[in-house]
Amino acid sequence: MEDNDKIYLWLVVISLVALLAAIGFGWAEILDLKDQTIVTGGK
Amino acid sequence: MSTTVKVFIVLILVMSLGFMYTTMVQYATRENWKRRWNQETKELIAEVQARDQAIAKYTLEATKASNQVVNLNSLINDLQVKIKDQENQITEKSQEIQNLQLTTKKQEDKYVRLQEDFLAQSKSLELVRQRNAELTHIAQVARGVAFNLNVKLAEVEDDLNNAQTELTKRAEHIDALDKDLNKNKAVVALLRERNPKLYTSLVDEKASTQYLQGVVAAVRSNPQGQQDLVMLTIGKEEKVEDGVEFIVFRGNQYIVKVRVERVLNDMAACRVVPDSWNTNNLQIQQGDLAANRL
Repeated sequence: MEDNDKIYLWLVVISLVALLAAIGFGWAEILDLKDQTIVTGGK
Repeated sequence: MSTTVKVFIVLILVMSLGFMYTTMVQYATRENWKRRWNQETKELIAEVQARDQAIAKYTLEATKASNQVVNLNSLINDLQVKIKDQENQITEKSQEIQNLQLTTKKQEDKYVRLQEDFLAQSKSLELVRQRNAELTHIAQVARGVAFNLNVKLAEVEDDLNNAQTELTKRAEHIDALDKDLNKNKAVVALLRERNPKLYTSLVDEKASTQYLQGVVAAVRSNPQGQQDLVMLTIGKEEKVEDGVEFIVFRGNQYIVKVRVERVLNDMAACRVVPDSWNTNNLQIQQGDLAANRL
């Protein structure tokens, strides 16, 4: 494999990491939506 | 590696990074919103609670205020009633004041009159005081005079006692003289029986000593101031003789006896018999009468 191809390999890894991070934030948001710890006003 | 794969790899990388950015920004925005939601909700709850407390407080105060309004209305009504009463009382008081003013005017007039009377009485009192002082002075003088008169009265009483003693003696003497007179009457009666001629010559006034009466023409006093010589308006023409005694009198008051010492034609000089003065201290005056018999 050439050095030029390794760069793309690292780009793919970075893309995977970024995708995993995006999935994690999305999952955390979904969990947060399920959580009922949000303060609601009223009596 | 082909160019297409490279393009896909780059495209996937860009899309992954974009998707990551989007989810990160959304997550951050949501967290921020949630935090702000919670904070603002807490503030709102606090504000609502404060508002509820304020509403309750205001409601309580409003209730109290309404009660106070009711009380104040009742107080206003009472005060209005009181004001009416006060107005009535003020009217009555004003009438009383008018009456009192009239009374005061009358009293002032009366006071003025009394003051004038007082001034007049003061003047009168001053005059009375002066008169009283004069009367006091007169009373003092009168007391002195009364004292002197008392002394004189005591002397007069002494004189009276002496005179009474003398009168008693004189009465005894008169009794003796009466006895002698009775004896003499008896003798005269015997003489009348035994020698009527002699009796007739004695009793007949024309045959006996002549009755003589004159007037005192002048009186002279001796150097001691006592009356001594008297001139009578009868003399030899009336047959006056030396040694005849005349009684000088004024009206029915005896004064003194005088004895003829020298006889002129129409005058007779007489000397006062010293022990024959009257007891009333009467003195001879020009014009007094003198007779040899009473």
